[in-house]
Amino acid sequence: MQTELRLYKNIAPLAGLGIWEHDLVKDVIYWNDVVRVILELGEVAYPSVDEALSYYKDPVKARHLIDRAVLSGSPESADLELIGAKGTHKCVNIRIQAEYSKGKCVRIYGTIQDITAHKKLLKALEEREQRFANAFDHAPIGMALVSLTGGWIKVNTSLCELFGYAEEDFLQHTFQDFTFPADLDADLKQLQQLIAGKISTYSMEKRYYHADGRLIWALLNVSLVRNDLGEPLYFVSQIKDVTERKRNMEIIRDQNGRLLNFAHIVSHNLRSHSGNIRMLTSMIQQEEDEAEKDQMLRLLDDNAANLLETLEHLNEIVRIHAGEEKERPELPLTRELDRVLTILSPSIMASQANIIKDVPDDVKVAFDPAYLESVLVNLISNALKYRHPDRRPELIIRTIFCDGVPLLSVADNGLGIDLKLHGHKLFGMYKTFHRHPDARGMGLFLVKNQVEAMGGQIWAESQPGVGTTFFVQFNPVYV
Amino acid sequence: MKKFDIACLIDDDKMFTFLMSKQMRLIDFCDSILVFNDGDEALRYLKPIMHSPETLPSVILLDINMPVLDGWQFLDEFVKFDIPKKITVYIVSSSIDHADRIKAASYREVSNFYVKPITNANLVEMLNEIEV
Repeated sequence: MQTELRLYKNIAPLAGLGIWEHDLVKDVIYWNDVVRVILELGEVAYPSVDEALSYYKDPVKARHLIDRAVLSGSPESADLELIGAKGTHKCVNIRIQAEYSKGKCVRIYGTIQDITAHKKLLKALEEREQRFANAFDHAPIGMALVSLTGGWIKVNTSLCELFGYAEEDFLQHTFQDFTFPADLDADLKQLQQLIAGKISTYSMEKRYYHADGRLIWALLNVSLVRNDLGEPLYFVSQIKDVTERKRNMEIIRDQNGRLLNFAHIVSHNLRSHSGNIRMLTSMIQQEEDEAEKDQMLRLLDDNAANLLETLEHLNEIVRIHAGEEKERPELPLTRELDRVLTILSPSIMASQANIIKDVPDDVKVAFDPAYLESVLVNLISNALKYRHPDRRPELIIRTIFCDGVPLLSVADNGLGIDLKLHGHKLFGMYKTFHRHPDARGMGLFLVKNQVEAMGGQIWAESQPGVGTTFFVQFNPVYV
Repeated sequence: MKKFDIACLIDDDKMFTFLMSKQMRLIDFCDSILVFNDGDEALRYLKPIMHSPETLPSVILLDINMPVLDGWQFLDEFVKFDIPKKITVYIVSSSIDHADRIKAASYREVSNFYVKPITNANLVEMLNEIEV
């Protein structure tokens, strides 16, 4: 068994614990070797207190610590910086206690410990955390820490901006609250897989509700943070706004569809004319009778004229879509409708049509004025043109609001059309469905192109022998 | 040379039907020609006479894109006929859309697909395919 003193002499260096005391009565200082090592001093005589304090980077601070201990009489402690005799910067932890005898401080003693390595580690850790916090807070994409049950724990600025909520609003909700219901199941299934450890991360495109109620498309990346025991702690979610990309993709898909459709129309219509021209020229070459030849030349001329007309029609479509960026002033629908009804009044009177108008005065639509006139003229004159022979035509023109967007309907009691048979070509070029002398198959084709160029949609419902209703969904007027 | 008895043209392009009729007469393609401007017209004519073979055409040149009833809609009705006579159907169209060719191939009744213009050689080819 070592004596207490011996044990203490051995253990102190083992623990890297410097021990010192200052006997104030005799003014004697004692250190153990660890203190020498920390101060980088050789086998020199014990220095004075002032000399000892001079090693500290901030001697005043060290002095205050001593004073505090002397004044309080209780243990005091502080982390201080010092510069060793060889110039090494160090961080030390000082503990200090004053001893009193008969109301007088007779001795101060304490410990000194080199904590440089520990401090460095802490600093590195702190820096790393700061770096993560910076990356989190200032990330250009939305980031969040989410609890295992879906509650938002921490969200960054980008996410707040993306969703239109403040951080406090987030913390009172779960991600489930903000998710578009149809996309929730897929998300939850993946979360379960993540918790079960079957996958280490997942990403998906999903929809969330913005604070103002609209839907946003986002690309979500989720990973799971576990503790040392492998137990799940929380999710790290990255949420990137892809609404714009989604919308652009839809626009591109629409445009490609229209382009392909247009290519087919061009190919088909030019081919029928050029086919006829080719037949005519080869027949003219073979024909010997001059009178016959003359007749065929006249036909060739007609054909050339038809070809030009078709080209003009096609050109009109190109013009409509080239003008997609054109102004869309807000037009009062009732005023435009009244104007069109005046234009059409001769044929309305001739057909004795009864027109019921149910359009509130304040309905406005963002549309090119010429296109709006074309749409209204075509829909109303079609209703008159294809009226039922046995009854007086009746038209009901109405607007209702559908999700805040005006929806115009033009309903007639005319011939009707079998949409099961013809629905897919109702709005096609040169498609006609009734043997009417004026039917050219251009009206609805133009109308559809004009409505779509203005960002709207058009469709129809019909029952043969009963009547047809056309619907025009306008593009919402953004204020 | 073989020839058809009655040929039937179903096409809304009146210029085309006029020229085809002329060309058919020139090469002695058939004895007589029936012309219809859409599928519905043709069906209305053929339906009541489908059980009297001598009045039915033996070849039909059918356009695809037509008003009222188009070529496909005509075929869908036509295949339901119970006809006591072999009627050869050719699609004659301006369509170079591959989808139309594939669709044509799905009808057993369609023998071939021609893209306009139709040349004399095309007509001769049809004549050569007449089964004796």
